[in-house]
Amino acid sequence: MPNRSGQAYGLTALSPIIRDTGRTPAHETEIREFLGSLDREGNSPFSKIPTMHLCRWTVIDDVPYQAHPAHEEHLKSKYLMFTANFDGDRDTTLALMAEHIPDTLNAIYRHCVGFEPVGVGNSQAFCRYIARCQITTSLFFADYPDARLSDVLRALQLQREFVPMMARLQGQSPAQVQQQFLAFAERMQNAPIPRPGTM
Amino acid sequence: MAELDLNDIQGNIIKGYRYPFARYTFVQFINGDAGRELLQALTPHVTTSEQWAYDDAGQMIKPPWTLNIGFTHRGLAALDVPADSLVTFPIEFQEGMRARARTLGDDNASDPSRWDLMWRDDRYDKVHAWIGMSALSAADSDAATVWLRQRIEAVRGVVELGSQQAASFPGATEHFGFRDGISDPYVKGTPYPQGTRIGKISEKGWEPLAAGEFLLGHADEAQETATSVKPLSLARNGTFMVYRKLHQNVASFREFLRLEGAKFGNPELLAAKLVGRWRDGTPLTLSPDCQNPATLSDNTFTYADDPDGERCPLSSHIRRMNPRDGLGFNGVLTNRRRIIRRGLPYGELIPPDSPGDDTGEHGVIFMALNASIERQFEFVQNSWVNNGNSFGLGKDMCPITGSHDGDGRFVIPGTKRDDGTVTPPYVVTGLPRFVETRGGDYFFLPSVTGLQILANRRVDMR
Amino acid sequence: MSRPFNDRFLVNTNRRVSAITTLSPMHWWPSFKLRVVFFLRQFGWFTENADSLKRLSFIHFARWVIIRRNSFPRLDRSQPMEDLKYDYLLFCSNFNGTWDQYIDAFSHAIPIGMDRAFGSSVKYPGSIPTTPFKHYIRANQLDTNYYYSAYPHATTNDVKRALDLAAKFQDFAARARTMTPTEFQEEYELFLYEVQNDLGASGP
Repeated sequence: MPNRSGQAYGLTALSPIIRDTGRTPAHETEIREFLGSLDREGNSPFSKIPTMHLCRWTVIDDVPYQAHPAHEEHLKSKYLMFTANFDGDRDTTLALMAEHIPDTLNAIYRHCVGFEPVGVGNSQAFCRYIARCQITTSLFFADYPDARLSDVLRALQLQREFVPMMARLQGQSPAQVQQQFLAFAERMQNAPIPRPGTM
Repeated sequence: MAELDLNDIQGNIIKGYRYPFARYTFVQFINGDAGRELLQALTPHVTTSEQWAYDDAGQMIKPPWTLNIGFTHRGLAALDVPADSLVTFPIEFQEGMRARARTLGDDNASDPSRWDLMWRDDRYDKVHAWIGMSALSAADSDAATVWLRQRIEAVRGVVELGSQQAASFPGATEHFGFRDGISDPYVKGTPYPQGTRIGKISEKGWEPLAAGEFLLGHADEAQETATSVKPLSLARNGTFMVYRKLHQNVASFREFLRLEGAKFGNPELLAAKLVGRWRDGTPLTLSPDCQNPATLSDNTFTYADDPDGERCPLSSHIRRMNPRDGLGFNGVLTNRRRIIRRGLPYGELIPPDSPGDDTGEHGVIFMALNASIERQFEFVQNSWVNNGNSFGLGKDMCPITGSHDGDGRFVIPGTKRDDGTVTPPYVVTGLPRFVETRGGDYFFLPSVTGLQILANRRVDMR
Repeated sequence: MSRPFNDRFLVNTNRRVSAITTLSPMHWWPSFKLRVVFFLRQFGWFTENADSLKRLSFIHFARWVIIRRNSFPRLDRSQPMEDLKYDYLLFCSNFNGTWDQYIDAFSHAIPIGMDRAFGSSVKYPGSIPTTPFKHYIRANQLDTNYYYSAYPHATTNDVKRALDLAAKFQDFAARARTMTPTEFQEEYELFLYEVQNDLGASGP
């Protein structure tokens, strides 16, 4: 299945943006304004989605023209492209989004054709909406397809804390090293998963 | 193989002069006429890449001194190069080195606000040209300086802003005590013997690099003639030079080797691991346990047998400056990032058995030549010296020249013996900044043809 | 003076990861052939491309999506029907390093793979030489309006090294508890040797 590599899922969705030439600001202007105002790290709405590795939104204004002798053609609608890389299956993550960040989704997609606002208990509606917008990925590459987000965040945290400790232990007696190593291992085991967006 | 026009290309570019003395003079053109008058006086004396003759005893007949000229973008504007030509120069050259501080890691002790006076504030803006003169002896260098000053003083409206002397040490070492200037790129179309210069790896073995990596208007390793500079007559056979005055904290370096070397168990091995070569230049890759000058006759080693850096650490200075085949893909990711280094130490040689000092005037005048400063020098500095990701080393920087602030990390991989026992890796933490930038800029070194064009205001974009 | 610099203004970059999005037209026949190539890849054809991307090791995730001329989503009758002659190839990548470094590496290290993927696109100049290839990518590139990473300070190399370290760490830590100090020392040194290329600094 080309949308997947290992346990990683690559979602591509194009949502037509409502075309209203009599409206200022235009719908795509409002989408851009809203997206540009969002935090991109630990306070990003998407840091609340525990399966989301990377995602992006792009307004596609038109298709690019390749100059003569290529054919000149244009889109009749603008499209909001959403691409995301997350763990597991599609609907689990879409439901998590509908559940945790409905306001964000509504603020983005209320400018798109055919979107029904996300509210309490109707996460399936958002899944169905994105499914209608989805384009099957033809070729998907994931560099670490078997690592879940929690694995990645924990591993990065371990790596970050391990090396300074390991450097401090250089030259100490085997018993001292063992004792401190085991204490470190226990501490890391009990450490909470770092907040997405901060590592 | 197309031969290069050696008598059109300025000297010291594709082949080093290897003179022991040098003085670099920086001048300002008050107006275009003054600049052109000086260029008209100097251009006939500019040293080219032409081969020098040999006498009956087989000795090369070297001139007592040499003369070369380069211009900042401000200098080209001062010479009345028209705007439609000026905008065709690469953006990093237009901006100049000071504006590129963030890319180059010139922060804190290396911050442009702390550079030498000549490179600061409005003085920096006045640096229009670099005039480089190498010499066979101190007396020749003095004579060259007198010769140049006479010509500068003969022109109303050229101001000498300052000059920098440099001189080599015995054994071609620098202040940290390592032999320097071993690996320079070997360029296609030159008649000179290869020596320790190296080109690129191909299916057929080592080959010279395409001339376009170092000279404008020639085919490069991307199989194109890529320069944006117009008109072509001004660009062709020219190159870009990075001039950097790099101060060396000799006391910090020696103190570090003494303290950390004791913990590591072998200060000289630690020193070699930082650089990737022993002090005499022996590469660790070929001789991991001791110096072996015999290895120096052939510099064409690869890292194929040492992919994990067990002999020569991935983070060592030489492996960062030129990873050779170490990034895979038979070295193609390295071939477009090569730079030709020229330059000499400045300041007095500090006795090796003394603790040395950080505050004196000592360091190296680093000069790098390349067709694209952004793609070559800046990339090496930004991605390979001040970052480790290309080598799987995260943010680790070069232990010698990286922009550390007492927080640097250097991983020395361990080794596994045939019986399965290991020497574990050793991690150095808390690295300080050993090398600080004190000034410099980016210069365009035109061909002789280009100098003629500039000297006679013949840049025509119509 | 050096100009003030703020990463916030880089819409296609979030700390150490950058987004590239390109959209390029394809005639129907090359588009069909490309779909066959992508389809066959699922059964193990042309996998050297993915191997090369893994060895280049600066792409977290990448995708190629063929949008056929009649498959732009139409969700309501009020939405005008698209009338397109070309199919479109959408390429999205999440990479580390600079844009130039990224495109250079494509051109120098995996030109055949690039030509296989983009060769169906109208007026694609080929991945060699580099300058026309870069102009082509740049001309067909779309800016990102919002870009999120759950670990913006980590490169794909950092992630893979950390995962390697974590796996070996857990294995060793589970065994280390019951060792004598002498056994521990020997095993610890072996463990450190096994992870010695996972020890670079990452993070903010």
